[in-house]
Amino acid sequence: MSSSETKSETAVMRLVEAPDQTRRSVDEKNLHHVWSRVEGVIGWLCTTNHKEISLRYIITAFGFFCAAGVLALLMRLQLSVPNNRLIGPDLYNQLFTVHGSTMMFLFAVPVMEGVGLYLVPLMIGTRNVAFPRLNALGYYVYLAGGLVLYGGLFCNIGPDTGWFSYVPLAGPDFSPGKRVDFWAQMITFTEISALIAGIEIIVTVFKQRAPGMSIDRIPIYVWAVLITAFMVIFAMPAVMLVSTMLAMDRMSHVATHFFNVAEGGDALLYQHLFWFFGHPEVYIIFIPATGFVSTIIGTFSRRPLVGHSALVLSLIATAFIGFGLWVHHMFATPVPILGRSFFTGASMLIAIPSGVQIFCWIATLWTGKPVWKSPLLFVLGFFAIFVLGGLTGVMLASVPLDLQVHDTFFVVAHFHYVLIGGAVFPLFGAFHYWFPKWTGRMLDEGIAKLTFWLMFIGFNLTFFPMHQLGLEGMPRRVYTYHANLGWNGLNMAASIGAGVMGIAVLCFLYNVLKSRRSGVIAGNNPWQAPTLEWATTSPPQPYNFLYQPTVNSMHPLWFDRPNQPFVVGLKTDRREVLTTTLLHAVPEHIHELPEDSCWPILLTVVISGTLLGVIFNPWPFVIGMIPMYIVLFAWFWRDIDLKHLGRAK
Amino acid sequence: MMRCISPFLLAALLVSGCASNHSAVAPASREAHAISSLWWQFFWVLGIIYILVVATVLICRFKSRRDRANINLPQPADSIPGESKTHRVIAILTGVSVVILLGLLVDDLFASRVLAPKNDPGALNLTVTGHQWWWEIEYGDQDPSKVFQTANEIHIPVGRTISFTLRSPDVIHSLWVPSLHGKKDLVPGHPATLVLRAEKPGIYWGQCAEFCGAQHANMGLLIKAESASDFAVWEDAARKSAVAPMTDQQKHGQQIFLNSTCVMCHAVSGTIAGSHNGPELTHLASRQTIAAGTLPNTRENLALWIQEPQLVKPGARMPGTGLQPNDLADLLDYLQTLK
Repeated sequence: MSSSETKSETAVMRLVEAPDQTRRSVDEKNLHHVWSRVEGVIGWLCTTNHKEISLRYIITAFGFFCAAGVLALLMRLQLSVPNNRLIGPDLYNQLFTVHGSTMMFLFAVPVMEGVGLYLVPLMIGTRNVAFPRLNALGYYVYLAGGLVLYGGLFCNIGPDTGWFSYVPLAGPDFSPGKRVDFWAQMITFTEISALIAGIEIIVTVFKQRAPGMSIDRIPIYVWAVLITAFMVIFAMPAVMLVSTMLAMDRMSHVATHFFNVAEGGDALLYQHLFWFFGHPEVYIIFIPATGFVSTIIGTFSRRPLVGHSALVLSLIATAFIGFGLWVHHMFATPVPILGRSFFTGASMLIAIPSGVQIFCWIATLWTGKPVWKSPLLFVLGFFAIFVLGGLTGVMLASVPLDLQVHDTFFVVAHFHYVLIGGAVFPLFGAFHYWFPKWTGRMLDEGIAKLTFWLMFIGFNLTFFPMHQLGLEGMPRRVYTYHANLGWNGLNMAASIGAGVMGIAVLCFLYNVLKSRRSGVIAGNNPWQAPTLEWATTSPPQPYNFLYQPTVNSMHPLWFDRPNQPFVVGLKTDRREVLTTTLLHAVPEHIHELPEDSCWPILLTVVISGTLLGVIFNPWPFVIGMIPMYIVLFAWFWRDIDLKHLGRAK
Repeated sequence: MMRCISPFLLAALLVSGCASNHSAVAPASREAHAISSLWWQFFWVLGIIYILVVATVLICRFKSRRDRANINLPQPADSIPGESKTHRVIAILTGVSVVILLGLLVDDLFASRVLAPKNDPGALNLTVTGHQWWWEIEYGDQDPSKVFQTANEIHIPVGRTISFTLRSPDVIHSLWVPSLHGKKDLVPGHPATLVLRAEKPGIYWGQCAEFCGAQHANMGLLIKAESASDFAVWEDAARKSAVAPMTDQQKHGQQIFLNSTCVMCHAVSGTIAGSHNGPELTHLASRQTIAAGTLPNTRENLALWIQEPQLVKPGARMPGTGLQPNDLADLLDYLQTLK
């Protein structure tokens, strides 16, 4: 689009309070025609609607969550009694590796991105994300990465060196075969996807906020997702780098020696690079979850959050400090003592912003008038579980204590308290909270409460005993243990608890399937929530908002005038969005988004073929470039897309 | 121990391991004591904080039951009465958190000082080498003739500083005997030192704590802490070569050992078997376990281990031997003389 065009478009933009009914129905029809996708399988594969893609992210990630949950149940079955011969070490090692890798790379990060990509455009009042086709590419690449990992597992070439794949164990000498390569390649897929999502979020939030949504009026959840996106962009390259270095060390044609001690490589370099990503990763998962917690607490306490600015600054502080503690994963390695003290200090320091958030949330509940619906119940569970995990985290920051409990079941307990308490409970709260927006129907409140209690009890029964097991000397990642070490009872308890958690997840799935058909119709805003996503229909139309909304406060549906004006002047015969300035969200110009496109999925096929081929031979990397450039050329050629062709312009 | 009968359920659950020989909260050395007392300080401080936080959230829950009747429309934050007071409370609580964390940090640094390696000329120097999946131990001495090796079982004197040099030729392992010290990784290319002083005689269980491959679960070891005199007796015995076989069966057993694949990996001092790819067997019969803590050292288990190692420890480097029953019995006779 040329700049003169932009100017003329802006000239016709204006604010109106309520367009009349005739105008509304005409615009509705036009927008529907322009923004909805072509029917059929092709249209389904080529869609660039952020809501459809996000739901696929969420459903796929939830599928991987269930798959990794099944792996966890198998592990608990094996560990329920000592000297169990049910699962041998070879399979067990694959199970915990794929469980961990799935939960970190294929569930936690993508599901948070999925929810974020769904909600952010709605919350900031725009029609789609900034780069819709790239968004589709991100999803398909993620899906391909997940399938690569599970394809490996089902063919008995699943990775078996842990989700961290430390060298030299994961190096060519001690892990021959292709198992570790599948792991390393899965990382490449998912990190491409994560970086894409990060870029989408940042550009969308920076440039497409509704007029009036100046930086001090951005909803807290959008802040959380935005800050996470920045963390992704700084943290993920480290793991892509390290997994690629590992893959190159392993590739017999290339055989670099980055980590080969015999050739002057360094095993600890791997750990530094891995944890430079690995620790921020925890916050990449946790910070969006704090966004859920803040949003749910705000809505159900029936008041604005206490200390909104403090909460946002805490998130930013967490994101910064989160990059300065990676060595606390390496306290048992021969790193210098003085250096360790620094990381102890930093690890304790990060408890402060988390503490500030906890105080603000409790103060909001305390001074508000909370309505205890199921989403808030999950937040209650979050407090009980996450705070315990956070406090054991303070213990782990101490070098002497860490030396005892590092790599034991105590740590397993700690990070499940942090990640399940800190991310999965809020996520389930978020599912219950936004399900009406996504589907138009409410989840059954009774089953929701049952889900919560089963999950809460099952979780604590599974993971609380693990603290004790770790203190009593049970290391992680063991496929069996002796009967005379006193670990039998607690392991059995943990296994029973895992079963209860499994039932809780089934309960939730039943609730989803049942309520999707026959749940109570939700209406636009069933919770009387304050943010913009509740201003539109449930589920939202493909174009999100009939007219570009404007806002006059941080809680538009609570505090803005009922006749808050809309922006009209965006064309209804093409996919136009309004872009606004970074700080004050003043309208800047009109931007036309591309139509639906088949290139993202075709590019995914090419990328996947290339990356899979590279596992076995370096040549596919060179050969794959050719189709890749062809597809990219077509991608950037403006008018090759479905609707343009279909509509025969 | 008073702490074992703590009234709190939480505490009761967490301290039930007081009597064991492989627990971070059942310390038997200077270092483990320092860590254990640090643990209890952290435990009480953080435990109380946890109870306060959860109690406050629960109060919100019950408070709101009382208030349910008068749900009204949300008000902007600046028009809610008492908001600045709430802010002040949060600021104070944040300040208190900072002070508590600083206190814990100082506490931590003092404990770290106890663990810092000190130069002790009287220290006993041991080198522990981690292998997939067993421990090689070398007792150092100024006099090379007094240096000797053993495997998977370490004897140490109580009250004397022990300095472990840790190394690994293959993958990363981690030495961890919870009642004696925290863990230390054995990273290839990065030799490390672990210093401890046992205070209480006893047999302490430990195992590898860094995932090291298929048999990570069965890479155990025992540390036997004993009085200086008992240790001296053991050390003298351990330096000696293996006794010569006496009976015909034992002699036949030794021939089987020396003429089969056994010698490609194992050493028995005083014989031609001198390979160190596998555990040293000179005093095998005096050890409590075989296959790095996998099985108790009995004749039946030894037979099983020699015949079917992959059944006992799938993935282990030891191949099955497929000996005839008579030969196996003689071999066992011989191995059981290696006291």
